[in-house]
Amino acid sequence: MSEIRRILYVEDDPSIRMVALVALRAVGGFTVIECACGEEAIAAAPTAAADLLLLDVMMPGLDGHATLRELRLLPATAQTPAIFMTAKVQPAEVAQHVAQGALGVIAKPFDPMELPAQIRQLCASA
Amino acid sequence: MKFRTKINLALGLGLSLVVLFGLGAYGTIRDFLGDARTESQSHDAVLMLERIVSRLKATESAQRKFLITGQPRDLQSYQRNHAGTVHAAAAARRSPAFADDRGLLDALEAVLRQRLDRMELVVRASESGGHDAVVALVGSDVSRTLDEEIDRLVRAVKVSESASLEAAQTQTERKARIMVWLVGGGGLVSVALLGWAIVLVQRHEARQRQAETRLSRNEARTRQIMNAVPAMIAYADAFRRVQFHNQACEEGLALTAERVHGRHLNDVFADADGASPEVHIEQAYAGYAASFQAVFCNAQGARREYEMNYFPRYGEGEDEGRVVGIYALGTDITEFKRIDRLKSEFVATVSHELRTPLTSIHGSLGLLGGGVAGPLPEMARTLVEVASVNSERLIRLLNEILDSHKIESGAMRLELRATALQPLLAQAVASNTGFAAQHQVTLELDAPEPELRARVDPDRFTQVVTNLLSNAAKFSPPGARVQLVLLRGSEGARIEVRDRGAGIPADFHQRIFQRFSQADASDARRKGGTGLGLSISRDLVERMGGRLDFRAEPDGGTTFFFELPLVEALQAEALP
Repeated sequence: MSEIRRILYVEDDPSIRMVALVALRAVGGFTVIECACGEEAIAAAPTAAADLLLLDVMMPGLDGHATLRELRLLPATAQTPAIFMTAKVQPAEVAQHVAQGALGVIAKPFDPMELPAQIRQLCASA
Repeated sequence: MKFRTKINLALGLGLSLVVLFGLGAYGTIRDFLGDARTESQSHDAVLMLERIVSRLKATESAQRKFLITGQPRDLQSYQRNHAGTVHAAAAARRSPAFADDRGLLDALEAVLRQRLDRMELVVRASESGGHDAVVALVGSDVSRTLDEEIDRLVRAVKVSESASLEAAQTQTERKARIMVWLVGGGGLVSVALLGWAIVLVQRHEARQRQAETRLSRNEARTRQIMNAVPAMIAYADAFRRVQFHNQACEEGLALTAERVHGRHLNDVFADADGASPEVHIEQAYAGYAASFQAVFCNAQGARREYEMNYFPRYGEGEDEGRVVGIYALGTDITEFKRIDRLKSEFVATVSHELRTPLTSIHGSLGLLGGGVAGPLPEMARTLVEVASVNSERLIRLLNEILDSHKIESGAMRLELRATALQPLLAQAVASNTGFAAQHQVTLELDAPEPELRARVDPDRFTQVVTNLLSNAAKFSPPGARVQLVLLRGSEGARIEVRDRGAGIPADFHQRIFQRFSQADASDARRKGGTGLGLSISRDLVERMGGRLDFRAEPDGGTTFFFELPLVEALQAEALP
């Protein structure tokens, strides 16, 4: 898998989004296109040129799974690797997330200093 | 004195009196019969005497006639009468009528014989033609004297017979009078005893009626209470047939009384979803209380959830030690389950909602502490660290509450796979070394057989070991070391966490694995923790096939341990 530089990040909670943004940008050195909901992500995707989709699962409106399904319909993100960030990390739940076409899951609450490393590890193991 | 004893006494006395009076009456009748016999014998004796005297007179008369006529016919008449007299005397001697006058009779017979001999002497003299001899003999006073003696003896015998008859009659009359008194008195006593027995029986019956009334009243009250209880209560005999049930059974099971009473438990308590209660029923009949949940459709057709309990009833006397029946108790938990579901949903929602802001708080603190926003002054760095540690603690508490909720609601799912345990333990030690250091405690891993493998969920296994290590660190004195040991136990891979703490108070031993339990409530604040960790750990270990337990060490401290079934090397390769 090519090196991850640009991440399309979808998270409805502004506080968590802020923390993750700082971690991804300042600690990980990624370029992040932030979206507050699934619809916003679908709108941004064609021009985002993202190397990775990082999605929250539980969101009002389109949830993470539905957003990913929609993004897969767009040529720009049809093949883009995806990772879910969620508190739902029971083995059966993780299996459900992966079945949606994600590389893996990062559990919430996450350690912001470790977040970039976790992302790179998941992408490397894919 | 008991009723039965009193009745037996009255009847016994009455019966004894009846027997006594019967015997007395029998004796008296025998005496009367004896008297009649004596009287008859006396009459016989008199008749026989008169017959002897009459025969003697006839003999005398025939002798005189022969002496005058000299006719052989008259001689024969004399001889017949002579023999008849002898015969009558012989008959009198044989007769029992003269039993009391034997002496007089003997004397009479002797005189009679002399008199007959005298007549015979005269007859022979006449036959031989000695006229003078005849005259001499007839004219002698001997015959007259003998006749007078005979008359005297006959009178004496008659007087004697009459006297003995009178004496016997007097004796019998005396006995009869005594018997009249005895029978009269005894009759009165018997009537009194009979009256006593009747009174006793009436009192007893009255008491029995009272007892029956009380029993019936108590039974009605018990039934009223039973019917007022909002739970199904039933009792079945040794043949699994329902012998008692309350109103709630009929309503809860939508059955009439006839469809419950006397019917088999399996049929009465058949689950609406088809689950058979048989295994639980048989468990109770085997002597073990059984508890399970069941669903029944009530009389209104509504599905209701029940907590069913079966309790064995042991017999007494010759049935002692045997289960002679079982009690069934069914509690409607539909509402409780609904509230429980609401509570669980509430806990899950609140925990999740709390975790969302905590994620950003903890993340922000982590970024600040990590210097992402630039270097912090010393004091700010210390404060951020305090905030970060406590946000981490809060997250841990929330995770435990969520885990406990998952276990309780049955939502906890483990992904078991054959795993080498030593690396997981090493990782747990590494992860907890920092925490232990805060309590100035050292963690040590001792794994003499590092290749041991078991089927575990690695995350949950690590969670259990982490919980045990953090507890051991928290409750060990500064400078102590906590040992984590992996060895081969009797039932598989054995994991032990040995601390050097003050030990667990004895009164806490029973509660230690209960949810929200703390030995000392103040410890919860001082040491941190919800009291859920050990409860969750025990459940997780059970789901991995083991059992978490502990023992107090003789030299102080406590060892928590569990064993998991081993996965042998070859088997492990075949497993995922």
